[in-house]
Amino acid sequence: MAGYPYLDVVVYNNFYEMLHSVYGKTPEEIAIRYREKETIRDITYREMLEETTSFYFYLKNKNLKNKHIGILSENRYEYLTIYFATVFQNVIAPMDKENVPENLWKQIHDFDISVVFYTDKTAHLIESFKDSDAVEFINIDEVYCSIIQDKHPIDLLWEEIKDTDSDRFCVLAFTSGTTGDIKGAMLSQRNVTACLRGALQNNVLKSPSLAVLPMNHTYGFNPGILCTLYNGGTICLTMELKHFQRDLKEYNPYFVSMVPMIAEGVYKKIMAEAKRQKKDKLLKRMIKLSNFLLKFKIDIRRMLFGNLINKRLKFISCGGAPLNPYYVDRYMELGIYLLNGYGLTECAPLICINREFDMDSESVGTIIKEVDAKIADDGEILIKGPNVMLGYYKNPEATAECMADGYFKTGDYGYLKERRLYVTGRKKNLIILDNGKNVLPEMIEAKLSNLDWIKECIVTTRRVNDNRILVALIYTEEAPEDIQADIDRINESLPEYMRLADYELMDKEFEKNSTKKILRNKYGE
Amino acid sequence: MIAALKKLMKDNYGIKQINDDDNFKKDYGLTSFDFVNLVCLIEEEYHIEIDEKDYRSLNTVSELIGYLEAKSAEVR
Repeated sequence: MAGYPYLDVVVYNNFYEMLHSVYGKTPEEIAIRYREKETIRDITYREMLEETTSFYFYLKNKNLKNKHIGILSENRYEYLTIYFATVFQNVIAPMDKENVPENLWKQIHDFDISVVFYTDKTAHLIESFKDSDAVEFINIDEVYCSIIQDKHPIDLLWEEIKDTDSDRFCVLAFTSGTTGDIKGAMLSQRNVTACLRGALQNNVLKSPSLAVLPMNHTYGFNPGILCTLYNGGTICLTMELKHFQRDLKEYNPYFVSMVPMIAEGVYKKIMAEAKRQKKDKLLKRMIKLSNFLLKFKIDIRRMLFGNLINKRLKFISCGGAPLNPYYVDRYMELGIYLLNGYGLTECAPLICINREFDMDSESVGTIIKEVDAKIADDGEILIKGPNVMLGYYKNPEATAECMADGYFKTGDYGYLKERRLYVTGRKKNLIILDNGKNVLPEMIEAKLSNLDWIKECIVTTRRVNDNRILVALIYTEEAPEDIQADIDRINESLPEYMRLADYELMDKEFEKNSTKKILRNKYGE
Repeated sequence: MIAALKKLMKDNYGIKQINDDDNFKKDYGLTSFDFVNLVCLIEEEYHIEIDEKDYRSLNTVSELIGYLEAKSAEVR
């Protein structure tokens, strides 16, 4: 059902409006649910806001107005109270606990971070520099309990934040490009709430949701967690990835945010388990039967497959990396909508996501309601909307470079069919040949990746006698006897100017950045 | 312990040939999610808890076995 109306969602332009309204309607509703050792702990909206209030005044008393506050933590409920306490008077800078100490120190220095909240689990990352005079390091595990003992009425918090500036820079979101250089996207509360609203206008969200992705990523945090709070629902937290499968069953969520690696991993595990129990043939027969009955609008997927993950799970949002459309169809067979989406940190991050009644496994989804998307003459996707960042921190050149006539240049190529977006490749990766022809290496890489024996590959150029030729750099663990035959077959499917002249086998995996994207500029010429 | 681990890997990941120096990622193609699932299976099998911060140092079969043996000794 292409182009069906967006859902009606209340408009909050900042977190004060959001929290004040949700708290006003359902103060005793469970906001957060998580496991503390053997016990499931529930935190109501009232409790969450009481703790937020305490932490807000703690920060205020430290005279840190407008300072940049880093948070370097594993997933935990305190992340939320600290986040909300910080965004109204400071700038919060979520930091990646998978990063190495040298990079973290550089981030602290380059982005003027004055205070870093860390935990017992992340203490080892700051050990080498935590005695610095320039930065204050505070252990959440040591101070949090005493901070929240100092209670203030929530009404005092409302009084402090009721005139909040929706457009004030309050979140410093780090984005690591494929060149490896880190930029800081400056986000406002309006940017973030626009993203949350956009997600909710595309699909109905029921409670509870489950969050498994790292809270420091805008995708894991904004659509993954804050959307649920925007809606007044319950967000269940998976504290460690190893508990995810248990949590899927125990919390029985309606919605989960995943990245392709997890979505694919969960599906493969289901199939592997069926095979281990010698029920794989039965499962395939049931899927066939179910697909047949669906043609007559008889839907028994919940009944047949509900036990594979949980009976309530309906939506899985999938972003952060390209998704193999194969899995959209596989999940649909089980009655689950694997909603492929697309976004960038600079857009808070959501730009589009597939919709329940307008799914297209090849598309990255329907543009969210308040965003205007268009395609430039060269094919680049341009975005305009309240979710687009304020700019890059201390990088006016990069900020100017990424804007064109009020539109944000995503750096990706694609096309639109009405409001459905299709991404074809990254501009940064574009190869312009000596004859002026443009080559999107991803198109060739997609074909190469279909070969079972190829683990990773990139297409780049090499100079041979002053000519640039296209070469495939391939990492494999088991090369077939006749690699050239496979390359020739792929070449036959490509226009002449896009054909690979050569290939090269790599002796180790490609170097990657912290979000697992290959650092292309380290290879080729 | 080695035999039990090998059976676990064969039954769940279809990995038949397991050598001490094998790298989970490079030799078996396990993603980080697959590795975490393996951790869950090992924890259930051996009743040992593997700390998330230790994942980084468990890249090969021998590193994992060494870790499990050290953890078992602590428990005893």
